[in-house]
Amino acid sequence: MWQGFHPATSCPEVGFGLARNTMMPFDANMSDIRDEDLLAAFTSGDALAAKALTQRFGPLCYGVAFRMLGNQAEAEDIAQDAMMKLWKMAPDWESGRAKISTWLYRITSNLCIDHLRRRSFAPGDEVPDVADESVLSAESSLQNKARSDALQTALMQLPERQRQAIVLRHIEGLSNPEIAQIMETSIEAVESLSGRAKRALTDILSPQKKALGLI
Amino acid sequence: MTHKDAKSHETVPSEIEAFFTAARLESPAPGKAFLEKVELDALANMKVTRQIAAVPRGWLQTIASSVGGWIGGFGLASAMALGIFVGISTPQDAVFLSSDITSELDEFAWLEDFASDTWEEL
Repeated sequence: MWQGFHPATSCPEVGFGLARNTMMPFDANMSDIRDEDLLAAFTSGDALAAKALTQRFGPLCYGVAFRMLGNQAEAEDIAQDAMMKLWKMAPDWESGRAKISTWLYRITSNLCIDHLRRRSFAPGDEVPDVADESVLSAESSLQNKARSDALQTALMQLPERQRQAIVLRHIEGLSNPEIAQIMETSIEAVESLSGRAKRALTDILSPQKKALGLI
Repeated sequence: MTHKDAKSHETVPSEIEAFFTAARLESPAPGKAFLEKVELDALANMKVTRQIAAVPRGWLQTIASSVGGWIGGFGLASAMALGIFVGISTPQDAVFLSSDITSELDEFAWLEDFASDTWEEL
């Protein structure tokens, strides 16, 4: 349970400002603490809050960046940039303005689109790194992995806005209003982008269905 | 955390839904080194923020800001100086000051005579 700020019990090195019930087990992710409270604790100098925010939002940024870029190293760079923007903006974060996750989805997506546009002028740097073994879980089934790889390859053939819409909608599981907010467009435009993307993906993936055990 | 829309996959054709399901199961995970780098960024940025917040202000700056900045401070100092002057001035100075004023007023004595004559005529 979030206990609020108690400077008297704070420690400058670890857990500054985050007093916890000593009867509770230690939770490195602080999963029961709201995003905004964690950000406020980070701003107050809490190292544990920094760690929890990293573990909560680092994978989120990386996941979107990887689906958008298809390359592990580039996805890590973009995700690190997005998180850096979060650290810098933290002192000025207005409570209730927007969800931190929504803000990060927007920042990450925009950084990815900027990166893709720059990359389109640099030939020879466009091969998606979809088969990177370090990215995919070794314990997952080969079939899931093959389908996921096939989808990633297909995603990379979509226009960037369609790819962004489909990743946020069908992989990240966001609602259309949220996606519209992230993409700074209307809900109707999101539905249109998503519809066109699905039709394109169906066309690209249909020939592979038999090979991937879907018939 | 992220809002998960329970109905987000209803309109997806079944043939590609299998691909989305696989993609969600095979969610790309960042490496440990990446998370360490991000956390180091956070800690470095946190130190900078705390240093900026901890820069000590001089006592002059503190006083100036409490009275509305340097302009407000000058106004207050002027008012204080005038108050002190009035406070330490001797009564003789005050008499001298008042006689100066009354001697100047004597020049307007004709106005008083004029007013009284006019009143009597009425």
